[in-house]
Amino acid sequence: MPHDDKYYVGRTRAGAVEAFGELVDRYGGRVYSLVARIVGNREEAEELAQDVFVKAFVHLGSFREQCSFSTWLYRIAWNTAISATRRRRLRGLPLDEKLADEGQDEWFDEGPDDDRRLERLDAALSTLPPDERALVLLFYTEERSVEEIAAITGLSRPNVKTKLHRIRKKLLILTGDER
Amino acid sequence: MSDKLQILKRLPREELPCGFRARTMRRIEAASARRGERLEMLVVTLASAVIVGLVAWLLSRNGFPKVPKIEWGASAMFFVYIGALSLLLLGGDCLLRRIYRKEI
Repeated sequence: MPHDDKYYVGRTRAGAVEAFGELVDRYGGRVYSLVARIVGNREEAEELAQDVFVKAFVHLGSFREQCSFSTWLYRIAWNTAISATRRRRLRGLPLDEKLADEGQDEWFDEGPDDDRRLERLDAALSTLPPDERALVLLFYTEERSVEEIAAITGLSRPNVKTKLHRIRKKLLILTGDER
Repeated sequence: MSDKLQILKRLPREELPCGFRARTMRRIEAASARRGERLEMLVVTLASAVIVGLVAWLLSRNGFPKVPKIEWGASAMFFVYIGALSLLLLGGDCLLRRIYRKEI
């Protein structure tokens, strides 16, 4: 029977390193996906996602449980991914090379409206700076609240709201959906 | 405006590469081992510091003991015997450690 995060954190702190594996299973996919979309490179994302979990393990003693484990983990993921983009000066290349190589117009005439809109949004998302892209991903795909995003990014709540509002507008203009 | 971007919830997640968990746990176990070694080093250093401190305190309290002059005459062979035995035992210890490490 699966236990909550607190249980596995407690067991890991008590010395059962294998208990941390359950947390890797639980959050590995989400962390990897978020990091991959921020840095725009799958190979690099795997190494960075591993770094996230290693950092979380090493610093587990400093996790004070003032927020949920997932929020704390996402904070490490945010810092790791954003630092990597700054350090390596990644240009936010889209993950699927087709997006870069082929014209976006090709998709406009295929598939249902929603799918086309999603593809346009995905392409527009990949052109945003990494930190703005990360904010959108945390809010919409990871479904984090504004409070959690503030805790993850270190920004204030009003700042998160303002940035999200600005980014939304930018995305809608980029995709031609702004009325 | 926010409704239009709700569709982003349908954005598919990137698939986790095969073997991600195993590779991550290997790194975590290595980090755990390094942490254990650091703790051992700290304990050994502290214990050594305590012993040295104790010896220094005893010497300062009781003074340095007078070392008697060695009379080499008849007892020279005895010292040679002790020295040779020490070297033999040290050599045997090194050899056994090498054999033990190979077996592991």
